[in-house]
Amino acid sequence: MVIACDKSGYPAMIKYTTENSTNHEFIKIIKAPCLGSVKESDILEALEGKCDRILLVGCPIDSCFHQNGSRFAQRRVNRINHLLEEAGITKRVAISFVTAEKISEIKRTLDLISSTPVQEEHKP
Amino acid sequence: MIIGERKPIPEILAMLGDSKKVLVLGCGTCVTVCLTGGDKEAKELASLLRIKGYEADSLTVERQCELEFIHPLRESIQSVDAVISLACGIGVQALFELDSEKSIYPGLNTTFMGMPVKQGYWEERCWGCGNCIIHLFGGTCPITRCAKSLLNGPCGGSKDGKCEVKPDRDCAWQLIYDRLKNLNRLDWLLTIQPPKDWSTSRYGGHRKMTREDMLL
Repeated sequence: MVIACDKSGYPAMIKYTTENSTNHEFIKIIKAPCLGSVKESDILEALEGKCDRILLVGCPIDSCFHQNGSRFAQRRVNRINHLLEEAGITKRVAISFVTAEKISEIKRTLDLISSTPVQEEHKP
Repeated sequence: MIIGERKPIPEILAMLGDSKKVLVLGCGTCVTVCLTGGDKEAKELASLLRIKGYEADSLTVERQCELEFIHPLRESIQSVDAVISLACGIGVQALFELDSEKSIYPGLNTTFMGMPVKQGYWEERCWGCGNCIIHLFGGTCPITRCAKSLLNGPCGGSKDGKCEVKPDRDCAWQLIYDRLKNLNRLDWLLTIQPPKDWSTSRYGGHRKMTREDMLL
């Protein structure tokens, strides 16, 4: 799943999926007004389903349209990954800062989070 | 307010043992403000438990430390195998008093009574010693804020206004001196404070308070 801000992330994801037609069949893209509006609980709720990896795509950290949205999102992503790691859950969240034109970071981050295998949780 | 820190998740999972159906119970007062046990944190922990395969749900009450607030939860508590309380130790014990047969586990370590000094940072301010003398020290409690709880001046180890035991914190006696100077009451420092009577503190045993006129 990709959660993209509608200022930079979403246009960048559209461009990325257009240019990389083989990579996006299984990616669900959700548009958010700003990554700063994406709460930890939204991300964890998404991870409860079949979604194993979530990528947040938004404005560069120092030029976020809403000033601090990308910065807050990065802190939340770090915190969620820490919580997942602490709980022994292999699902992960990543964040990528892009402009509508510069999309190479998306492929790099997608490759990075896809490289570690996800283990199925054993029910108690 | 009462400050608490979430227990490590592996410790929480270990406490749950074979329980399958879990209720994570948040508290809407102190631990909500210190961002460890409110509705948001309860939902997050329930979510993590569901990812781990538990059948978990979350609820938050205004105050877990009062039976009036937790009485309505009785049915919800009875319908699960275990409850993780994200309240302070008082809330956890109140839940035990509500239902002594249920497995109730503390999800937080209750750490201290303090205040948010800045965003995301809390510091201890009160030990609950049972005999408040803050007014004699310009509003800074030497019992709590001096690492050695000294009542008659600094230890001599502070440097640049910082504590020698915890160098990232202000020396309480520096603060006391500065404030009394502002109040033009430095003469108060010449009064020798007698040894503190700790019997009013927790060392005197389990404490209680009664308001006779309010008893039914």
